[in-house]
Amino acid sequence: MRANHLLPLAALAVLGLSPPARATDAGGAPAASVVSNAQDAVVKLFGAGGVAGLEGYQTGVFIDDTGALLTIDSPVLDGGAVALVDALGDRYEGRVEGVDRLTGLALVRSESTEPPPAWIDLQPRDAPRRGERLWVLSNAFKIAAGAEPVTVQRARSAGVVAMPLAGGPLGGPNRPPIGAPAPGTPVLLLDAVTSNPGAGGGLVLDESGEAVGLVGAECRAESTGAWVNYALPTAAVAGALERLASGASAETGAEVANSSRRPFEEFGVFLIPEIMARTPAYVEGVAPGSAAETAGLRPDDLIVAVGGASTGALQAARRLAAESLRQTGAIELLVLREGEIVEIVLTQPR
Amino acid sequence: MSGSPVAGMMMAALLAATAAGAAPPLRLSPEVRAIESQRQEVIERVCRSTVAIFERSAGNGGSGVIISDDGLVVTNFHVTAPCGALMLCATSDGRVHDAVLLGLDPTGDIALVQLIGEGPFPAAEIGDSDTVAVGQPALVVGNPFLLAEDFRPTVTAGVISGVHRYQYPSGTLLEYADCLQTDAAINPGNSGGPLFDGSGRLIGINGRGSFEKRGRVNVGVGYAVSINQVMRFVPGLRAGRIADHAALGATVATRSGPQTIVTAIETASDAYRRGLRAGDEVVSVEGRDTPTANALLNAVGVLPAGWRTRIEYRRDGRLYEAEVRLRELHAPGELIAAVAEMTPEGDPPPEAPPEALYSQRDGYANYAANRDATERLVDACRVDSVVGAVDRRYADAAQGVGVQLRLTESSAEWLSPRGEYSCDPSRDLATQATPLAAPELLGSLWVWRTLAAGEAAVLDQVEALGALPWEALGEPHDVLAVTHHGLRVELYFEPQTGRLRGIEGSRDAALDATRVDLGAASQPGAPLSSMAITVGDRTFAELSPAEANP
Repeated sequence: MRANHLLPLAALAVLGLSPPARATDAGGAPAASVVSNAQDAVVKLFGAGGVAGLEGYQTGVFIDDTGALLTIDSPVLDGGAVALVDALGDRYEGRVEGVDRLTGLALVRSESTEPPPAWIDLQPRDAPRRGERLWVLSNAFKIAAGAEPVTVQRARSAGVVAMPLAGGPLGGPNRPPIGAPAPGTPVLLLDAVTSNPGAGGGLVLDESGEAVGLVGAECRAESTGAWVNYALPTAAVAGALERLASGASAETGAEVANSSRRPFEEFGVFLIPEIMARTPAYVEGVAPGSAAETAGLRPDDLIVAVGGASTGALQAARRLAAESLRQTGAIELLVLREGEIVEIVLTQPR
Repeated sequence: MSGSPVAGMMMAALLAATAAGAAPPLRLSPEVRAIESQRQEVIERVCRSTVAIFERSAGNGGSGVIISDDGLVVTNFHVTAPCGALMLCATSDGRVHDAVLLGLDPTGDIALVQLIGEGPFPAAEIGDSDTVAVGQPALVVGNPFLLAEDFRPTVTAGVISGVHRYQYPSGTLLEYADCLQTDAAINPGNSGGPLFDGSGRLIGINGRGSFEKRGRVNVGVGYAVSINQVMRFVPGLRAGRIADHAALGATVATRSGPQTIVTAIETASDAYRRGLRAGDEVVSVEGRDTPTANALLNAVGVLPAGWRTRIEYRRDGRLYEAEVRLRELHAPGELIAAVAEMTPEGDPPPEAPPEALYSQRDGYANYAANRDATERLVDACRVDSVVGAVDRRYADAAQGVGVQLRLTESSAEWLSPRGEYSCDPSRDLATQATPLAAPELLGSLWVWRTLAAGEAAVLDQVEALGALPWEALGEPHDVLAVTHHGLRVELYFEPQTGRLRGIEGSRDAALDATRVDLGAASQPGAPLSSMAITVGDRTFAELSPAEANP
């Protein structure tokens, strides 16, 4: 009964189609049906915690019909087993299958023999445009109980930037934060307060209902006390899934970054060696006669922005450059040289 | 420090844009213009009906919203509590009005306040919070951080993040049942202010947020009491009362399914008398499905105490339906004590409100408001033809007999071949249970005659109660409650016509009441021409005028 009733609905959600609005949506905005369809793929997670300021709950999203779901790594997953409450209010066990260190995402598998009420296809897609309107669904503050739909918030994309922080609520100076993406990982910044207790693992959708990312773990700047509202874009999610599938879940961020494309070297730019997690993106040398030399890049320039997105660390600069190259065939840089900002555009020589 | 080259470039770009000012202006499509001008109109309108509320010493404050053009303002109890009976309300046109407290709903954290001054006031359009859907636009208007020094309110925009939220009681009394959740910024000072939908219709009263470790500032999670709940309480609050919420008299738990199962039930509750037992599954209340305990708390928690409703429950696979009267959520005196605790003690305000607008009496938020509302209903009871005695003859369709009813200043008599009953109102009415099958009947009818003849002064206590439905799922009626010699009699008046619809008499909340239904079509000026008299599930008599008096 459940499969008959729910599978077509789930299939629609995957295709991004809007089935006719439900009776309860009568008079509602068309957007409401986009959101209510996606609600069926969101799952509430309950696990360890609930003491000493640690939440014992968070959010997950089913990603296929076998009951695999993504969430964020956190103390909630300690012990390897969590309780899952799906959109129908059904409750079952989940087992933690792996954690991706670079993104902080964790793969959990439901022990239920039934398929989930719905799932979301997290295929990589272009990051949303800056200013694009998005929906954010999460189990923030554990407001929704049982089958009740989780909190829905409105946000706009503030752009994709390199994760600037090493800290987090649990990450002291000497302790790595749990679940936070490695510094330099591209993250989708949001302009609304979406980073709340329990919101991690929540679903970010565009206006057509297509998934654009997952809400990241709570992260707070140690110096300013500001909380970062961000999501892991689908490209990062796909990378995490690949690494988890290949059993590379213990891979460190630096290793992953080094294994990816080296866009600067293609233009004849050599950056200083990455000796620590937050190595700044200083240019060590420029190959004579290279495109970079023609464009005016010089040794000791500090790369502060790539493709309009500010970047603090080498790893992020590499990642954004690769992305920019893939999308536009060029890399737009802002570099800091003797206290002044200089704009450099690297284009492939014809 | 000189500007960076980037900034210089931007300046140049701006200047270039100015130089090209001769270019045709940006053309917007008529559709965009229409939407934008509608949005401006909505914001203009919702600001006009929003008020800033201040303590007279201008210390504490909050927000409120005008709900009627005669100046009724809804706000939070926790906003008015430090102010006492008299406060200041500033409208967006910059005017500051005195305002007096009318009624309180401490459980829902709602207060009703009356603006004093020249009306009409710009009232908000009341929406229907039951039709609000997740994702719809929402506007929060108010006075966050008491910023509005010129009393122009702050507007924040967002969406509806959740509906039918249940927020557990915080502290002792406060309960947010069936509330709306929004991500529009709600900060301290927004308390008591309005939540509007995208068309500017009032759908809720803001008052709570999820804060926790972020401190007391917006985190994109705010809650509003639904306006449908508020409007059910307004008649009682307007009557100066400290209103209580309804309770089923049973505890429930959610079982997988999901199902809501009764885990325990009070034998003194009406639900018990109508057949509900521990182990039963509650399927619906007030026409709303109740698959979970939260859903049941939502359905009941939005109703005032004494509300008559319909419940559906399932036992052994069979569905039952019952009409029940919901009891009070709190024990007697509990709310009054809570209100006293939150209200400033001692020093009376330097300028006492005029006696006509406010007077203090234990058990009331504003006794003057109750007195006025009571007088209106007592006047509505008057029937010109009832001056001395009432002597009428009926045919009783239930028993197939004739009945003679005689009501005088000092007695009530029921004469029929089934038996002759009488009661003496100078004695305790609770113990004169005649007839036994409808023990409160004669006392209730005598109370009605006393009111109809304009002799209310002889009754122990007469007070306006608010509005409650006479029939389950029916429209609320204005209720006048009389207590006299151990008997409690409630008279239900249709709000539009003022016509008397029914009389309910009770001696003890643990026993079934006697109900006298005067019918939906009785003639004004000739009440009691027809009566259906029931006690619990039993019909005692069905009276219609006798064809001709013998």
